Amino acid sequence: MSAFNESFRFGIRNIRKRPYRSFCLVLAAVIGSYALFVGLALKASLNNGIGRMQERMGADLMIVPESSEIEARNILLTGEPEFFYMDVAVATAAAEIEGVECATSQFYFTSLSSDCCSTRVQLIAFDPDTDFVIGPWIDERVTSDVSNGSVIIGSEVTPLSNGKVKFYGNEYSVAGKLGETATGLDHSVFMSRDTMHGILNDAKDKGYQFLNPEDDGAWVSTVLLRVSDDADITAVEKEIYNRAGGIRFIETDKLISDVAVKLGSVENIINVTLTVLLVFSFLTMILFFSVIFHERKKEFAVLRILGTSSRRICFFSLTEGITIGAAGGIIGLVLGILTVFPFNHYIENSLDVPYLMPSVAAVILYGMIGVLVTTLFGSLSSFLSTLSLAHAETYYTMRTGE
Amino acid sequence: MAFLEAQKLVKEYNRRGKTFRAVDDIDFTIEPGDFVMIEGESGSGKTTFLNLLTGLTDPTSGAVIIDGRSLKETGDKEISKIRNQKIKYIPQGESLLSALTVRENILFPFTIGGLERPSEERLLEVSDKLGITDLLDEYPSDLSGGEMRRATIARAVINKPSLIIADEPTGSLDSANTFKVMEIFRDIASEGTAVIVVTHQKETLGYATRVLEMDQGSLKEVV
Ligand SMILES: Nc1ncnc2c1ncn2[C@@H]1O[C@H](COP(=O)(O)OP(=O)(O)O)[C@@H](O)[C@H]1O
Ligand SMILES: [Mg+2]
Repeated sequence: MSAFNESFRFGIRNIRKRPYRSFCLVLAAVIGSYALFVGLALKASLNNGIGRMQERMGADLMIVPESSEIEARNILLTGEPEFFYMDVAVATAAAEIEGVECATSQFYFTSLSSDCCSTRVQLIAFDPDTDFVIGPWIDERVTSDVSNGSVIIGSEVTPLSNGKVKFYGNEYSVAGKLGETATGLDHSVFMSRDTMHGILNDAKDKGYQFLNPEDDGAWVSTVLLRVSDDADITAVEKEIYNRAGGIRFIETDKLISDVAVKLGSVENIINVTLTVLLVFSFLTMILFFSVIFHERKKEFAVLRILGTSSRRICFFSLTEGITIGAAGGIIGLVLGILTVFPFNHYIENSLDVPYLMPSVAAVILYGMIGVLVTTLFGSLSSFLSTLSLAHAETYYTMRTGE
Repeated sequence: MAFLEAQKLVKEYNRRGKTFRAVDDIDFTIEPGDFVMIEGESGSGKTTFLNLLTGLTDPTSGAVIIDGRSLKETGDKEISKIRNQKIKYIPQGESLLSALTVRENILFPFTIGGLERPSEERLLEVSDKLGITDLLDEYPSDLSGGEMRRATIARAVINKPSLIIADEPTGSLDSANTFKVMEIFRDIASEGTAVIVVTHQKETLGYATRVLEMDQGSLKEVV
């Protein structure tokens, strides 16, 4: 429609004629849309992360050496490589307790970031015969067979250019890659006990001894348990403790609820920041539009004199508001995308809680919400300031010109 | 039938709690081809009267009738259309849109309204007569007060409307330009347009067919 066309062109002309003020208005919209997009994407990533973690935690209970609870949590949550050991007897004892459905043990050690290895990662030896934790994560298309000396890598581990990974001077082919878990295990490499034995020997040759490879069969780092639904988990813990002392229990439910608490506080910070920025953006836009329209009282009077109806004048200023809001919204969205995607890993590491980017569809949705909201801000603030003028009689008299 | 008629027109304003009549019981008619000049002291109510005639201000009592229809019964959209197409108002002071060039300002009423845009010949004819042809692509901020005035006058006269109302249109013009503008008004009146001009310059009164004086809100016929 040509009326729309004309008011759009007139609005654009007005925006261009006042570059400084238009810049401030667009900036306010940029801040609003940027905050909204980044805030929503962060929140979604956090919720997505904890959801995935919950889904992937196959064990109900984790037994670790008494003094190593913090290290064990680090492995699970952040992927910080650690190692600690306890007597293999714990595994044997735990498997015999009534109420324990599955029990499997794992052995933790680390690689180095020097020449001998691809990167410094958590190395985990597991027992394919009893494993119930890692197996389900392995991508169905690849084999989970690690008996031939190959390894399985976490989703964030990058192999060498030849597709292999290197530890203490030897290369190992990759049998499979785990799906994303949003936990520290994304940064881990999994292998059989035999492969582990070989790597421990190589490490010893290079001067790094985790424990004597000769009796590595006598030690485990952790025992993972699945407890039957009707069993009392505290009773199971007590029973195991009676048979094997010097240990500590990490309950998965508790671990996740701890993470949820931490996540809640991070989320609160995001919510508060987001609200403050949105309010700031909106108020700034109202302020600047009021200043503009106050200054333009006379211009509105001229429009009236030339036969522009009140409705048409509102339409003119709405066009300006919508254009500014949408332009700022889109710029904010682009900046948001340039923040959230490239700095994905940086954000993940600095937040220290499980973090998993939402799907592309969700990201598009957040972008649309951001642009929509600032467009709404723009139209609302321009409309409100016009309305305040429309009620003053000075609006359509030219007394200001005297 | 008169194109425009004012009946018992009153506009009251408040000043420090006391109401007073800026326009006090005015009856007025104007016929096509009339060239009416209104003089009067500053503050006597001339601008208020013109604002009432164009429907920009609502009267306290009385009526303005345009084309046989009272403005009171006419909605904002229709009054706007009348101002856009039939009544060209040249207000006191500056009234160009700063975001538009002189040419766009002159053509703006046609851009927003339904009337057909005047031809380029007509535009040049008017701008030549007013001496602003070289300024058509400039913005108002680059013009002198007199040049802006003449651009405003060009905007009003370009399409021979039913009525032209001008509030001290030659205030910022030298006498040569003042007379040129008056000639334009006289010519347009001779073609059937009614013209109302408020002026302080006695030497221009000779162009009018009727001269009225505003005195404390009352309008009296002088000639
Ligand atoms: N909106 C208004 N509110 C209050 N007083 C007004 C208003 N408009 C005009 N007046 C007063 O009405 C009187 C007539 O004003 P005006 O019509 O502008 O006179 P003129 O144009 O003859 O100089 C003046 O005293 C002016 O102060
Ligand atoms: Mg006046």
